[in-house]
Amino acid sequence: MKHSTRRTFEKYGVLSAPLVWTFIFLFVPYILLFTYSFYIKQFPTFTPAFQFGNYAQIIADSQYYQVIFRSAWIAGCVALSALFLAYPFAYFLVFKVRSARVRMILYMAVIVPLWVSYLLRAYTWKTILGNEGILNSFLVWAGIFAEPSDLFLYNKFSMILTLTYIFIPFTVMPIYTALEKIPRNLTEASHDLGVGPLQTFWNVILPLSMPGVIAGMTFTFCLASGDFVAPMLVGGPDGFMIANLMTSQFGAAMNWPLGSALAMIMLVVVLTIISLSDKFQRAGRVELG
Amino acid sequence: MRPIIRIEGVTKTFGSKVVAIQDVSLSINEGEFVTLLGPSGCGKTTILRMVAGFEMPDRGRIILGDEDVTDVPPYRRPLNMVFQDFALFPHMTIAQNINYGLKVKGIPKPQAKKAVEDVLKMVELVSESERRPNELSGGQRQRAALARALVHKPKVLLLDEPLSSLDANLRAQLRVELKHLHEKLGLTFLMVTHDQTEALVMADRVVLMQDGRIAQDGTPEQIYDHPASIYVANFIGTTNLFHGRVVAINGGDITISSGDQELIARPSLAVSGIGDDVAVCVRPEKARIVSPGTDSTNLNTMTVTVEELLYHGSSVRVQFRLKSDDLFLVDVPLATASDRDRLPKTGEEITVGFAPGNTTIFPWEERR
Amino acid sequence: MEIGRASVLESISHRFGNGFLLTASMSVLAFLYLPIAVLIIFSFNDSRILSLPFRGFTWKWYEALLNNADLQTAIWNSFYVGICATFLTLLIGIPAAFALDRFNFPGKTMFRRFVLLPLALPGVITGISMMNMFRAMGIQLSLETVILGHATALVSVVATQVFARLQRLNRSFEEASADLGARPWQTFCYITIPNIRSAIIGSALISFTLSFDEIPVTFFLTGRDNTLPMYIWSTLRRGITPEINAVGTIILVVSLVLIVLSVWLIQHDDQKR
Repeated sequence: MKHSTRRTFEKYGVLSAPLVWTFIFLFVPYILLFTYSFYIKQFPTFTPAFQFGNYAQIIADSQYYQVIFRSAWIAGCVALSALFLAYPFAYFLVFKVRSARVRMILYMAVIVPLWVSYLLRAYTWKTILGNEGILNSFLVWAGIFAEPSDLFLYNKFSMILTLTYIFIPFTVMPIYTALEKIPRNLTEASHDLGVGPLQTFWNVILPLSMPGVIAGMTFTFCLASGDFVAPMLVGGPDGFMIANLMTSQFGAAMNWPLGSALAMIMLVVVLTIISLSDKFQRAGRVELG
Repeated sequence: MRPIIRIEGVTKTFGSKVVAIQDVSLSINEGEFVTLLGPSGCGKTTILRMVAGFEMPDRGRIILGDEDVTDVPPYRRPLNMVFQDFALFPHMTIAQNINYGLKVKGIPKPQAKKAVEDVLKMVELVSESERRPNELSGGQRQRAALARALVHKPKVLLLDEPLSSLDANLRAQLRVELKHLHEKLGLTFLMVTHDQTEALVMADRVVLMQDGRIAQDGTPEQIYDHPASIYVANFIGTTNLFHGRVVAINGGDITISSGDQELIARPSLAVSGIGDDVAVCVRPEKARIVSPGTDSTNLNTMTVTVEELLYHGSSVRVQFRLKSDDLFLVDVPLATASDRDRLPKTGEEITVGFAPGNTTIFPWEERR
Repeated sequence: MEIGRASVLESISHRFGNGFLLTASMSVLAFLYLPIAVLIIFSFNDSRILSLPFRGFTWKWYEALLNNADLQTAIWNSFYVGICATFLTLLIGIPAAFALDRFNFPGKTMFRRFVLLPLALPGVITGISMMNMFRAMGIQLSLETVILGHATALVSVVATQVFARLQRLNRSFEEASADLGARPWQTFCYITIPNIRSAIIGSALISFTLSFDEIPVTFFLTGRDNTLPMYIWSTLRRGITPEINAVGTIILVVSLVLIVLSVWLIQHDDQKR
């Protein structure tokens, strides 16, 4: 067999399984979702059509677009607060911890909570923040509050807190990786040139760690905006997010076309964010040798 | 001697712009030690990889023995390669590395075992056979890579810059060892290197490449003493060059006018007519300082000023400034104490000279 | 010789910089482990209510676990789903990684986007879209549809890890293998796979772990049989007992053991290189 024919054979042989899978389980479902988003809701389910009514409804009806903005806002806050907590930790690990062993243990310590059920961890916050929860008991005991407060639960604060909690590990990982890649002699060179640690951080380390920061924040933002567990557990009415909206359209509200339209919007937004994030990462990525 | 490898009219382009090899034809005879020499990017590694089967020519053929192997994958070609970074499998011991090729070919175990032992003895790595590659020194790894290739008794052994990752002393030692190995085994060796000393010491034939083409193909002596172009003259060793015009040809002599002097040089087939634009090349070790009172009628001489003395251990390279403002180099051997005493001082004006028979001329090229 | 003077800001930041970092890092860890500590403590609390005060140490919630058939079935289902899904992710993800690393083909960029998409895409979308499709095709939801959903969502985990490892793999090993007479499949089995082993095992473990605790995709694709997260979910809706805390604690302990094991394995593996 000719060499080049053999190569083509090889190539498509290897590709076949992933291609088929991607087509059946990724491509087709999205096409279906796309199609449904143009249908009309009709009792008991829906009828085929081609109309933009669902999309119009989402844009026009405040109960829908408010949910979308709220989700984006909460997700943005989560991404930021996770960043502010994760970055110092990652920095500490990479630059201040001398022993490789301790570094690994601490890194693992951040990853380990991911293994405890997400549901349980979110639920535990509910118990901590609630009226009879630990936080309130402590505050009353310490005399700071006269009686338990329901300030802490079922609002945006508890949502952001819980989601930040969940996403800190996911933010630490890419930042850690990015910081690790920075050659140590760059900081040494900076110091040698008379630049102190603070300026070195701002001018050298931070820019070089940007790809990791962007990756972590993108990941956190996209996944936090689409979360439906935390809203149900600790969100209350104030925490009703887009994923809950979608779920109800496919559940009780029986409005599959609308749900599909919502899903399409989310799909497009996430895709856009990922592409932008990719571009930023690539632009900020400098060959570290 | 019959050709064992024939590379015929091979062209290879990478991407849409980079032409790595331009219509190269080369013939390698059985038992020869041929070196492909040149700077990085000249195409020498590409040719080696095409012979091995890792690249395919866009045009042309590769023939091994009597068979056209252009389309044959590497695992079916009867040759073996020693890779530049040795490519020893890190997850196997040395013995397993050597045995690998025999295992995949299905050679029966007792036979394979004996072959591995024999080749380990030949490269003197018997005591390291159960170690892993990362536990060995650079020189030991090189021998292991050799052993792994040689256990198959290939007709041709390909070597991709086999000494480049070793330090200077080791390289000097292994150059000689490889040459002995070649003589002992009688195989054909095709080696790629950018180090001209390696090429000159080890090879029977040197193929010097330039930008995807062959600049010169000959024995080390031919390449060194009779370079075919300025590129070759400059790449191998160092050379002094004079730019001039042919003014007279009479029998065994050719007269060149360069600047304000006339030089007698040895004729060359490449230069035929009066008025031709030529380069006259003379190696530093072939030029001499002419002490006053010596008979210099048969030499080309010139008066120069000493600019710098560069100490090279066994010799001194004296750098002179010509009246034309070019540099002229003379290598003076330091065999005895009196040699050192007779060295000129910086700033002195001296006469240097060289015999016509020690020159080579070729057409002038305006390249840099 | 002039020795430069530090600015006020620099001196302060230097003195307190390290202290700040240390405090910040420890606070983050404390923050991360607070709920987990609460979880563990309350699994031993002799009280139905998950709040203070602490009434007494008891094993009874762990004992109740042993009698809870539903819970045990759910755990078993999760293992079944996890193992099958992980197997599928390897089967699809490893070739995908190779294709992305080695080949050029039309539509490669789009393929790459699709493969990597489920990583950052909220699980609801994968769940909803696949549920739609199964419904449209008339396929009943079951553990098997959950497996397919998990595999789709997790393929990118394997693909990215193996791809990253392949990029770092020295191509000359495979060329040397071919040069020594090994056919492509032999090179693949004897040389390539052993050298990317740590990436394969690592990503398989991550894949399994993510599958074990997967919620959004599972939510939409579950039939009658529950996985562990679905069981916990339904319990949370009904009314929680500290049995759940016991489950969480056990999962934590088992995971810790697994992590230590796998890290030890990978280190041991890498030492041989």
